[in-house]
Amino acid sequence: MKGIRVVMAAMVLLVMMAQVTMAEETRRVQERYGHEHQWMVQHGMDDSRAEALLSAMEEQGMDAAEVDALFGVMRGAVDDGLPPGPFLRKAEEGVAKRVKAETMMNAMTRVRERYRYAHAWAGELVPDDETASDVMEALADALAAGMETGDLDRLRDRLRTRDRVRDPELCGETALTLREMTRLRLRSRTAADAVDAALEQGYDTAEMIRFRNMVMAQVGQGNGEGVMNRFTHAIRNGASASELGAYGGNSGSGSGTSSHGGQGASGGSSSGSGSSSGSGSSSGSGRSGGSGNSGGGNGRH
Amino acid sequence: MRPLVVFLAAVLMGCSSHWVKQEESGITLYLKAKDASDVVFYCSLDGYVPRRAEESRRGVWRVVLPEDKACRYFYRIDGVVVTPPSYQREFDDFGGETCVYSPHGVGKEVIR
Repeated sequence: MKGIRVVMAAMVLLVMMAQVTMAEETRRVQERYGHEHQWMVQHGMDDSRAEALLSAMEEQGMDAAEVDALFGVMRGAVDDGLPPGPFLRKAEEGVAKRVKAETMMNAMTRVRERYRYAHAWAGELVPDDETASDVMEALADALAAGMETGDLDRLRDRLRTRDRVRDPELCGETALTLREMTRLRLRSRTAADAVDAALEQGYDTAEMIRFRNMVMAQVGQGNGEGVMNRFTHAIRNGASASELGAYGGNSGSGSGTSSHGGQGASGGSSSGSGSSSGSGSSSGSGRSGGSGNSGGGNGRH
Repeated sequence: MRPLVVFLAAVLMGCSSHWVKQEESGITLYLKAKDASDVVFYCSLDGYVPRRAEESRRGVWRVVLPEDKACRYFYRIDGVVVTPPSYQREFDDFGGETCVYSPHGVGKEVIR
């Protein structure tokens, strides 16, 4: 009985010591990185997340100069009018992946370049700040997924030459479409060619949404490039978004996506079968494109 | 170093597949990792806090997303960062990729 009490007392003592050590560690990190902590909280990060990020940076061996340099990039970007969120999320991802300080720094620089470009692109075509911010986020995500600035320059010029230069909704849907396409592993040029053809043929906002839904439903990882090239060809020959189902067909050769229970993968109500060159199972048969604004939401993450 | 990490990841994953289902408990991600003994999930929704995946049956690991919202995520399998083939993905700026969850990926399995 006495032995049990001794063990229990020792355990309580150990827990208390651990708590004291953790509190001490937290206090030390807060003291050392007080400015950084305050800056993150001021820019909307939870207190506990800010603390966890700084502690993880220290645990992983980043010294004060490296942390200072990282925050220097973030502060500079925010001073230039860029949002802090993407930088803070990248820092969290970096510490979770335990990357070295130098790698983290390079990543921050890439994030900054992406957002600078996307900020300028959106600012030029979309007058309203809130919509421009959404367009910027979607474009920056597209760039992170492999979109190239040369292709985006081309599309900006296309949007400028249309009468819809001041159509922020079309710009937004165009950016979202590019994001979803590149995230599906389509090449930058393939995505840009298709969207360029759609804009050239006069697709409006609703048709751009239908087109994106069609892409989401039809393009898997296997033969996505082939499907997209057929879509682009059809669009150039005058096909509307709702007619594209006839040119798609689910990709399904070897690797790729397949239906796996649960709900269907089609965005909105659009899907299609048409002439398939793949062997995967099609998740729909209609030719009609959906009309809801459901394809590839606008979530920030 | 990087080729070694990629090789290790490939060995750990074996013939892997990865899918997302809407279940009662929420959006559930499944990962086949045959020989894994420890699978940890990280996602952007909660600041990449490590969450231990549970082995729902032999070699199949499951984790429930904290919220049904678009996010980025990856796994650490037996200590090695792994981004399994997913419906959508991005480059992660650290020399690798990161998986992207969007509701469009629900019900789709990716096999490599």
